[in-house]
Amino acid sequence: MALVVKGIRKFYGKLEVINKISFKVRSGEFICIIGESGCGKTTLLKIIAGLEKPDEGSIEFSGEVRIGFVFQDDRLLPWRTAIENVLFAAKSFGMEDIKEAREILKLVGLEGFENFYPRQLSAGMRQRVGIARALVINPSILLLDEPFANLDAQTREKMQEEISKILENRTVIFVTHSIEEAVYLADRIVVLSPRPSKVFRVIPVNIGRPRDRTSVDFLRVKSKVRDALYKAKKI
Amino acid sequence: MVEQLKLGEIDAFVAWEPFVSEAVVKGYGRILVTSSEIWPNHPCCVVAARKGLDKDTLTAFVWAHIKATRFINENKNSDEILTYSTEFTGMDKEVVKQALKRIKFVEFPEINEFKFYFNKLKESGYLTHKVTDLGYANEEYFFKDFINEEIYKHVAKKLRTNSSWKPRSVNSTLRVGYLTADLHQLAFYVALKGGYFDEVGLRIIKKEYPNGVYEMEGFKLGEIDIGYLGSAPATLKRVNDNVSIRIIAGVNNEGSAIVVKEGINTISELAGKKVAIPGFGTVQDFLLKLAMEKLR
Amino acid sequence: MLGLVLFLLCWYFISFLTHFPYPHLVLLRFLELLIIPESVLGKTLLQHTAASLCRVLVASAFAFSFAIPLGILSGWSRKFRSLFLPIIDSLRPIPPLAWIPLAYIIFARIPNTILISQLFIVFIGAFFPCFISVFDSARNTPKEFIEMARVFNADNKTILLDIILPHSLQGISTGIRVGLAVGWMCIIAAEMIATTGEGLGYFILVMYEVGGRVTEIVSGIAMIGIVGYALNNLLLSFEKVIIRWR
Repeated sequence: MALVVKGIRKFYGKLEVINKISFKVRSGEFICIIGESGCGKTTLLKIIAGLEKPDEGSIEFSGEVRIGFVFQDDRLLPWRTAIENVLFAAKSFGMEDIKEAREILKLVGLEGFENFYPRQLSAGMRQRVGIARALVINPSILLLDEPFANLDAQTREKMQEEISKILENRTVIFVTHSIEEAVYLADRIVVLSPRPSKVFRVIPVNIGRPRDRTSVDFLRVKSKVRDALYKAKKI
Repeated sequence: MVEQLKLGEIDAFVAWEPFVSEAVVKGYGRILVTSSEIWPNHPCCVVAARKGLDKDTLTAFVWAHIKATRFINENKNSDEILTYSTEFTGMDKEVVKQALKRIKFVEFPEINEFKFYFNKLKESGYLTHKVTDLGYANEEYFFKDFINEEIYKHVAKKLRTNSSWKPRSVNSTLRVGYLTADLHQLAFYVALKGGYFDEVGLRIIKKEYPNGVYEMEGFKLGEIDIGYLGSAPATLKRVNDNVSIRIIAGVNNEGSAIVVKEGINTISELAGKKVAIPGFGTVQDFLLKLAMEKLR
Repeated sequence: MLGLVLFLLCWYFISFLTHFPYPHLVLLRFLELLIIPESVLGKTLLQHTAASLCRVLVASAFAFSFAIPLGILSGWSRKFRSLFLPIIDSLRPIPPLAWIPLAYIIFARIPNTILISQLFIVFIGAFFPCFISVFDSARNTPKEFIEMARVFNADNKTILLDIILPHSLQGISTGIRVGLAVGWMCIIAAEMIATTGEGLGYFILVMYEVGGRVTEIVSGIAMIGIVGYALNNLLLSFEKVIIRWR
C-alpha cells in the first residue's frame, strides 16, 4: 500500500466540501478520481500533497515520500527555460543533474527544446515540461490535477497515450472531469459524490494496455462510470 | 552665505550688511576689509520706478523717501532707528547696531561710481546688449535716462529753501516692491511708519520679493510701480532684458565687506580659497576683483 | 519624425509672434556651448551636464540599493509590510525639495553640506517611485508559482530569490527608470536652490539672474530633455536584454 486516505473532512469556513473520503492506493497503481465540479477533487489532491490541512482524517504514506505534482495550469516559471524549470524542482531535493533533466525531457518528447522559454512552447509542450519537472525528482507518488483540461481534444488524446506509457509502473493519482480519460488511464476509478463529497463507488478497469477506446469492454466501463456519477447525484 | 561660513563650506564671503555684522557678532568670521576701503562710494541699493509714472507722483514719493532718509541720518533718532531696524529685519539688536554703523544711507547715488560699475559690467562681458540696441544714441543719453536726477534735484532744491516744504498731494496708489527684511531698505519702513506717504496722498501697496532678480521680474510683469533693490539686478536686467525702469533716488552706498574665517589675514591669502559672492555681476563680485587687484 | 517637424513648426510660429528665440539660433548656441566655455561661469554645457549627471547617478544608485530590497521584502512579508509601509506612505507625499532646509541641518557637521544635501534630495526623489514599483511587482507575484514551489519543497530563500525576485524584475526595471527620471528632475531643481557652482540647473539659474541670455536658458532646457530622453531609452534597451523571456 503506497498510501491510505483515511476519513478526510474539509471545510471552507462553514461550507463542508469533503464529507468523509477514504480509499487506498497500491504501489504502482494508477488511480483516477472523478466527480462533478466543486466536489473537492482538487482540494483532496492538495491535501494529499500537503498543501492544505484536512479538518478531520489523515493521509498515511508508506516508505519514503517524495511527491511530484502536475498542475492544471502548467505553472512553469516564465523566466526559466524548459530545462531550468525541470531543474528548479530538482534543486530542493539535491538532485540537480543536467544530464538527468535532459533525459527526462527526452522521455516526455521534448528533445531539442531544452533551452526554449515557456512562451515559445505550445500549451501541450508546456504541460510536458510540467510532467518532466514532476518526474525528475523520482517521486514516490505522482499527483496530477486535470493536467490536460486546458488542451484541445486531439492534443489531449495524444497526451493521454503518452502519459500512459511514461507513467507505467508508477503510483499515480490523477484527477479528471472526463470519463473517457479516466477509463483510458486508470487501473481503478474513484467516483466521488457531489459536495460535500464522499467516495461513492470504486470501479476497477481491467483492460490491457494500450487500450482501444472503441472496444466493447472500454465502452462498458465508461457506461458504468457514467451510471455511477448519475446515481451519485441522487444521494 | 553666513551659514556656509559657519559650516566651513567657504573660506570667506563678500556680502552686504547686516550679513557682515551677523557673521562677526556670532563669531563665524571677521572683517578683512570693508567695501568703503576698496571702492569708496560704490552704489548699493537704489529706488527705481517704471516708465510712465507722472511727475507729481514721482515727486511725492521721492519727497517721502528723502524725508525718511534724513530722519535715519539724524543722530538724535538713533534709538528709534535701532528699534525700527530690529522690527523690520527681525535680527539681533547687536547685529543691527553694528550694521548700521557701516551702511551709508544716501538720497542719490554717485553717478560717476555708477558709470564705473556699468563699465565693469561691460568689460567683464555680463552685458548682452549695447545701449544702442536699447535705442539710445550713446551711453551719455542712456545714463541721463536711466539715472534720472531731475525729480531729486527738484525736491532737494525746494527743501533747501524751505525745510518744511511738501509737494502737491497726489491721491494715487503705488505698488512698491522691496526685499524681504533687508536692512538697506530701512528708509521705506521709516517712511511707512512715519506716515510720510499719507502726508502726500500716496496709498502704498507693499510687495515683497526674495531678491532683486525677482523684483526686476515684478517690474517686467507690471506688478510694481516703484521698487527698492540693488543696483546690480537693476542695471543687469535693465540692459540685458530691457526692463524699462529708471533710478529716481538712492538708498545706500557702501555697506559691504569681505568677511573671512580664522587664519586669513591678508587679501593675497584669499588666492585659491573659496570665496562666496551673492551673484555674478553684482557689486560684490567686482569688490572682490578690485580688492584682489588693488590691495594685494 | 512627423512629430518633430510639427514641433519645430510650432516653435517657429511662436518665435515669430513673441520674443522667443528661433530654433536655429538656439541650435547654434547649443552647439557652441557644448564645447566652448560660457563666459559667466567659465564652463561648457557638457561640463555642467556631466556634473549634474554624476550626482544623479550616484544618489539614485544609492536610493535603488535601498528601494529594491525593501520593496521585495515588503511585497513578500506581511509582517514587514505592516511595519514599514505606514512610514513610507507618510513620507512619500513630501516633495523632495521641501527636504532641503532639513537636509542642511542634518548634514551640517559633514563637509560639503550643500552637495550632500543635493544628493539627499535626489535620493528621496528616486527612492519612492522605485520602491512602489518593486513593492507592487513583488506583492503581485502569482500565488500559483509560490504554491508550485512549496509543493517541490522550496524554502523561503529559494522562493524569494528564484520566484519573487525574477518576477519583480519588470517592476525593478520600471522603478529604476522612473526613479532616475524623477532624480534627474530633482537635481536640476536642487541645483537652483542649493548651489555649488556647477551643474545644469545652476547654469540655467545664473543665466536667468544675469539676464539677456534666453538662448542659453533654452539650450540648458533642451539639454535636460535630451539627457532625460537618452536615459529612458537606454534603460528600456537594457530591459529588453535582461528580461528576454517576455
